[in-house]
Amino acid sequence: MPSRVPKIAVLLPPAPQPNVVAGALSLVRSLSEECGVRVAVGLPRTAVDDWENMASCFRASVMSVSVRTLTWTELPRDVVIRMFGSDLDVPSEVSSIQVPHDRAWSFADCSGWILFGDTTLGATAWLRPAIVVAPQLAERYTPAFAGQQDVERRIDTFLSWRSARAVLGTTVADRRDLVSYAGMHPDRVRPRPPFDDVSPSTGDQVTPAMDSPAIIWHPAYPWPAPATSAAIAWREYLETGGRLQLLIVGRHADAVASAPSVSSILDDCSRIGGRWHTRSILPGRRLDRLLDRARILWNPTVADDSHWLVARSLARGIPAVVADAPHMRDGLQGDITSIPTLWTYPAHDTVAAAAALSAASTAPTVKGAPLLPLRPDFTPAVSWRETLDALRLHASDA
Amino acid sequence: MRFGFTPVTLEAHRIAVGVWIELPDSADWSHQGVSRVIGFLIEGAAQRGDIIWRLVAPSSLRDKIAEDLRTLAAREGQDWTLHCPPREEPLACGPVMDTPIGPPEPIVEAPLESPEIASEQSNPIGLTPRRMGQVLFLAGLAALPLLLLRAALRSILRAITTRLRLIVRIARDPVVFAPQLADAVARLPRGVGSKAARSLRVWALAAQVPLPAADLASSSAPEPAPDLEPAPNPGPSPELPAGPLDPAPPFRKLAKFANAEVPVLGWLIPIPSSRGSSLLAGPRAVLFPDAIPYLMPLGWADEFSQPEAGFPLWRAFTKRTLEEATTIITFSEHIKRVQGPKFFPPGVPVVVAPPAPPDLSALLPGAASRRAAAAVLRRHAATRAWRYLADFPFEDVTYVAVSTQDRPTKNVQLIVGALARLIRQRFVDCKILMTTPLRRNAGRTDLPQTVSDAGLDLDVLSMPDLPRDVHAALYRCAALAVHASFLEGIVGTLPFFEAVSVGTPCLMADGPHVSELLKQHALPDTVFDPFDADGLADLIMRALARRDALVASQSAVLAAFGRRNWSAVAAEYAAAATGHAFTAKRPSAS
Repeated sequence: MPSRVPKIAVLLPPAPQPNVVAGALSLVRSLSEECGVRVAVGLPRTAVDDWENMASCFRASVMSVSVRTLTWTELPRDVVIRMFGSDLDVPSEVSSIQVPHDRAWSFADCSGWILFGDTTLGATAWLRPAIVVAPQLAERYTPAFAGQQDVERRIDTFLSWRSARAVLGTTVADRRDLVSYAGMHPDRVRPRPPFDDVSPSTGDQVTPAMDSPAIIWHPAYPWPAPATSAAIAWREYLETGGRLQLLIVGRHADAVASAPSVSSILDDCSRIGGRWHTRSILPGRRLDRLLDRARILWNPTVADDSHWLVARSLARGIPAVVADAPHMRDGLQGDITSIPTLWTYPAHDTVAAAAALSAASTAPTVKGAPLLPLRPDFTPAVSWRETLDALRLHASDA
Repeated sequence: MRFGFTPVTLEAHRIAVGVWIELPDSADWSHQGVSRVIGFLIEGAAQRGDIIWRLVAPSSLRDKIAEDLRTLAAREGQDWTLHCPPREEPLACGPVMDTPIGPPEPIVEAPLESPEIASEQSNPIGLTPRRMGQVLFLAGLAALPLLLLRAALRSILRAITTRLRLIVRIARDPVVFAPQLADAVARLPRGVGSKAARSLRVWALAAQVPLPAADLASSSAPEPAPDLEPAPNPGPSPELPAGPLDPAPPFRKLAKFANAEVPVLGWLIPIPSSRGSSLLAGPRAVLFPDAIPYLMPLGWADEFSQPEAGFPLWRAFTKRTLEEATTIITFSEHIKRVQGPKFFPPGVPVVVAPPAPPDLSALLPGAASRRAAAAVLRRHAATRAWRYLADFPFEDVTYVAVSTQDRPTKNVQLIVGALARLIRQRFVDCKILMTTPLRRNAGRTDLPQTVSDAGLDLDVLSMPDLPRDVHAALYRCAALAVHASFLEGIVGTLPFFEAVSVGTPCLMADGPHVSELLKQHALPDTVFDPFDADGLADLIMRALARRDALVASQSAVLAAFGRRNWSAVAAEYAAAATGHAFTAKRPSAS
């Protein structure tokens, strides 16, 4: 590999979500295979297993992709200045800076950085030039944390993002959030290229017994507040004659189901004949198989990355019931009310959600559903190569 | 510096009108409330050129007021002057030297020595410069160990002397410092100091009420200021207080200073509870904007309802001041109709003089583009170390501007509730940027806690105490302005006129002040129910969808109101205060 080929570091935050790991894997594949750059992946130790499971089918060249474990260390600002120089582009009010640390110094010769997640506090000042792949700012839509929102830390995060070359959001609604909520300059906020569907199944898991059709609910976050309203909606569905069982699927399935406010409602549901299970499986072919055997995909949350999952469900002709939220409208192509296998209902309306579940469960299967009803903005027409323009680091430039 | 005895000064054709500012030392003189009206009156006088406002205020507020008034489109010394008595407690480190900012110093204080006096006393020792240099060198060497010791101990000594000085000042004047102490105590975590703070505030308010005459005569009667000469135009003699409604001692001194040093034809009293104004010489016009706590007694601070300190005392003060007034000025017919019978004494003429709609467009830089206004906001945020806003794209973010204080009648929480609905239920990207302060553990307001509990800390942002140009820029960049007050003393609301003057539509809560406006002009899609957060959320969405049409209809109303300008209002107020008949004038370029 010529030494003139740029090397880009892709760093994951501490305790990344599974979809973040899957997205990073997709990105690394695109960078190495399509863009021809060398990639150094920095993984927190907790994400190594997820990464290896997903990357089992990915045969990247050892020369082009190197994977290292790293630790994010929060250091005082003056210490960082002493270590790395006084030209840190960081507001003087920021007292501490997150520094990625790996023993092998794998990132010492990197010429660009892509940071995933919102725990990269202050890192963009030290890692330049950088692109931030922002998660959805879902806390804005949920009074999550029950008033425990760490405002100062959030401000530190946003200030850190503002010093990045670009901030990548997923949908148009994300872009608005990043400008309005986080205060990003609109010129620096770009739509994120789609992650390729490279994530394989976590094959070591036991195949769940699926004797009857079910409703799949994939909560993206472990927050109890939106999960509570979803559980209430399912109880309403059962009370109005619904019979389908509920499968709570994903990394946070057990956490959501065991939250006190949710579990009490699920107990009510059990008493009136509802059956529910949890499955800790990750997005991938395993989930796709589960979708194929299920009856309905249900997405009650209002702000997360679930429109990808909804699109995959629709592509397989599986009916989807979703809360009508800007992120869903912006992520799917055309008028979402015209998609025959998609049922929407006003967000937070549990009665309407139950009615939509009932309607979807009794609807006949529609053949010829749209393959991938994503907006053109998010099709591969926008590639990672173009996105890397923000870093001005193409192999062709070398 | 001393004025002559004739009331017409500086320019022979200007009528001098006094403005009596009776506020405690801890008062917040920012661009809102009475201070905003006074600013507009001064600018109106500047447009006319035949009135000079002479403001009399406590020394402690001098710097705040002067800094604010110097931002006006008016000339200090010609359109306005500020008069404060000398400070009674110079700092221990030496005489206070006032450094003027901007124009020459017309503010009357203690007489200063002429610089020429010092120059005449030069070279009293008779040494040549070379010889003096040698002497100083040797003296420096001798003092070197002491200087080194002092330098080593400086950080400790400075901390000690600073705090000792503060403690001594508090001990000398506990009444003045009590509110600040109470605020500091109230900010202690977990509310442990809230009870002590409340007691301290109540004590301070009670201590400002004059004691009975017998007590004062026996021991605590303050001495008259020794450095004040006898008044050339004495009014009612500032005798010792004979009852609880008599002026407090600091304001008796201030009145004595005003009668002695500030010759005017009459006085404008902008705060109707100013009991010290009864000692002023000459006719007095008392401005009665409203008595809102009379209609909405709940939700104020606890001590506000106490008979010996709070609103009952304010009511008694106000009624007495109005009884002694020459003229009463009020802003609107609804205040005259509703509250007049309770407050206005028979026989005292009442002038209904609505304020002119303010025009903030002249305060905006350049072509008043949103980008330029956003730059003003960013610069100011950087100056105030508001790090989240220092690099904020104000021009690209949809936000609602709220310009008001945090009072029970202002109903700011309704706007916060509407915003929560917009964000959480309708997924509208929107923020609130408001001048209302968010003071944690303030004890008298639930607003900060409401914002925090709803997780809206980064969606409801406070930008308090804005200078006038930044305030105008805040309106200019806003998608909308919203004013949810239940009741105002004027016709309409000031935020309505201010926002529309810079091209931003404004929504207002229904109330008698808005009803009086609607009698004259129709305003579709502008008024909402002050109890209905969902209705306000609906209205905000409709207004955002048809913002241009809303601006057009509201601008037409502003244009109709704009025929009445602050020049005419200033003349009406000055005429009410002095009895002088002013001729109608076109605004001059001055």
